[in-house]
Parts: sequence; C-alpha cells; structure tokens
Amino acid sequence: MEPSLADLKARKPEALAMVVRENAGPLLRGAMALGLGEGEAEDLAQEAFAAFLAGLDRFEGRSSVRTYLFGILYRKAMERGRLRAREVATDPVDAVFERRFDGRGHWSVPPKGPDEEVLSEEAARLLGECLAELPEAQRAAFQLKEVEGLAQEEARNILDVSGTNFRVLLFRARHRLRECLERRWEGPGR
Amino acid sequence: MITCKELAARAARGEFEEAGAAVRLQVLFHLLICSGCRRLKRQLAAISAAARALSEPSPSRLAAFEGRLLAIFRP
Repeated sequence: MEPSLADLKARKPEALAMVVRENAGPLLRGAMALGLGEGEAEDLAQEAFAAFLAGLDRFEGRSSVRTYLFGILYRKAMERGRLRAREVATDPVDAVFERRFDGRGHWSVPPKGPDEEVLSEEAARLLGECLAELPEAQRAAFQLKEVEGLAQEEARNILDVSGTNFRVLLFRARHRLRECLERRWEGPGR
Repeated sequence: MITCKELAARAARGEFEEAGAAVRLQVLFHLLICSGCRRLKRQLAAISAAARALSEPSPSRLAAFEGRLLAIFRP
C-alpha cells in the first residue's frame, strides 16, 4: 500500500509514517544483503530514507516508493564502495555449470544436495554461509528478484544494469548458491 | 526439444517467467521426463524460500528501526 503522491509531497505525517511502515523492513533487508553489519545496514537504510525525504519534491511517482527507495539505497552503497553492480565478463561458476552437461546438453553430473530440506535449520545455516560468499552484485540482483519479489525490469533499473547483464547476475547467483549448498551438504562428515 | 542445459540456464536467468504458453508447455513436458531438472527446479525454489526466511530481521529490531525512522520523518 502506498500513500498518494499529493499526500507525500505535502509531507503529511500519516503518509510518511506509511512509507516507513511499508518499507523499513525491505530496505533493511536490502542493506543487510550487501554484507553490511547490523549497525552499518541500519545507517545506510536510514540515509536512504533521509535522502528520500530531502528530495521528495523531485519524486514524480513514476516508480513505486519502494523502487525509488531501493534506487537511493544502492546508489549510496555504490558511493560507499559497497556495491559494484556491473558484472565481470567471466565467473568460475560458468565453467562449473558447463561441466555439469554432456555435449548433447544432458546432465552428466545431475544435481545433488538438499531440495525441500533447504528449509531445515542446518541447510538454512549452510545457505546463509553461501549467501555471504556471493559477489555483491549477484547478491543484490538475487535479493531484489527473489527476496523482495520485484519484476526484472524494476530490479535492473534499480541496479542500473542492462536486462542481459541482470539475467547474467541472476544466473550466476542462483547457480553459485546451488553449487555451494550441494558442496557443503554432500561434503565430508555427512 | 529443450535440453537440460538450456532449461537449467534459462530457469536461472528467469527467462521462463515471461515465456508464452508453447515454451511453458515444453518446460512442463521436459520436467515430466527428467528427474535431474525436477530436482534443480525444486532446489532453486527452496533456496529462494530459505533466503527470504533468512533475511527477515527480528520483529524487535525492525520495530526499533521503524521508531528511529519515524523520529527523523516527524516534522
């Protein structure tokens, strides 16, 4: 739910309170997903809200308030050097992915590891470790798409990358997470 | 006929979300006959669900943060 543009521009307290209630959680999650500690994540998210308030006269309502806030959050993260949204040309996971298939495109090494069990406590802990190891741009793309549930177009606009680049980020993030989880789940001691 | 490699790559890129009926049908048919791709699909969905659960701040922390924000938003 979003307040009307007129109420926002008039800085009506109930409209601003609604912006906080609806977006504090998502923005805090977004900041934490950049690998920031609790305090730093809160500071960054607060800065984004403060910048939104200061620049409210420039907000034209062409995107949702949440998309606009995430745009500010990630720009601030980039300024702090906490996020480089552009993806590198090659990534080790690309070769790992290739080795999974034979020349006809069939699985030569089918996926192993947990599926529904990912929601178990142990697998969730392993996944947390894998998430922390994701390169920041991949993690941001995964966060916006899978955790916040934004449409690709919206998410790529926030990160200011092309559609192709965004899809590469998602591909690498998802396969890195899956490979990492499989490795840890199937690893020694299990 | 879509291959496992193509399915795994395109699913991870999120390409099937906006695909037409014909492509979705191809994917469905492939999943019916391929246990490896079914497992991959379940894993990707479970990873996303678990990531959502993991990233949730505690209610008390969120309430404190909202309080901090409301204080700066107060005229």
